[in-house]
Amino acid sequence: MADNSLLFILRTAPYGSCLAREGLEAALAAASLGQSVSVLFMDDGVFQLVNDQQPAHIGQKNNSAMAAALPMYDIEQRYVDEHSLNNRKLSAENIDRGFTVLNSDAVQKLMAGHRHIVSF
Amino acid sequence: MKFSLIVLGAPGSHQAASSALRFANAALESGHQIYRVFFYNDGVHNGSQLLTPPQGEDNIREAWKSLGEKHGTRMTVCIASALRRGIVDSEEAERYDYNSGNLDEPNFKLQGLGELADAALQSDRLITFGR
Repeated sequence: MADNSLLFILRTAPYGSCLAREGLEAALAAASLGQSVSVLFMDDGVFQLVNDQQPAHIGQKNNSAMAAALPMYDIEQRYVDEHSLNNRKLSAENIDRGFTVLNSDAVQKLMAGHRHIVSF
Repeated sequence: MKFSLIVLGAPGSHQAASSALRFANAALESGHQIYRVFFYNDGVHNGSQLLTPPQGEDNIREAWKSLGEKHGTRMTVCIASALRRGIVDSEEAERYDYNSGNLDEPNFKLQGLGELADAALQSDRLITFGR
């Protein structure tokens, strides 16, 4: 376990509330300050990664474009909860590339392997 | 143990802030420390000087204030979340040419997300209220 590893769990769908966006902002800020950051999208948070989002129609910025910026902030550990995808009739093909799909066991290990978990 | 709290809910519309305050008081009474309370998302409304609950209801801003004064806990309001929601300190009010700010200074401080990273670094546990 890294000395000060942070796991950000993003659990809200985009656009309906601001929490999806501000959760991502918090992860990006922590990474830009040199923290060891991982992100996990689960529950309704998996909707943040659905491809071909067109939020300009409702005057919003594209949330998945922000998620796509994660590698640029050196956030190499990017995960999606498989169970959450399945429950929503989604699969790896429906979401943006660059995220590793984890089963429940792997999610448990991921959580156990971080010093802090911040959930949005 | 040293705790920091993240509060995501506005007072008056969400239980999060009240639960966080109760947790903080219970932890302090048990001999633990609260290093920082980081108000983020709708939680920034906790720092508004203009909170005016009806008679008989607690004013949570006052409660945070006395907790901070008594125990030295930092009350940090995220500047990006705050400005988006109309919570402004005197410096920002001047910058944007507003008549006045509404953040309860100096008990609450408007600061960046770096303070959340700092809280993670300094604390044994980081606990989120409001999600």
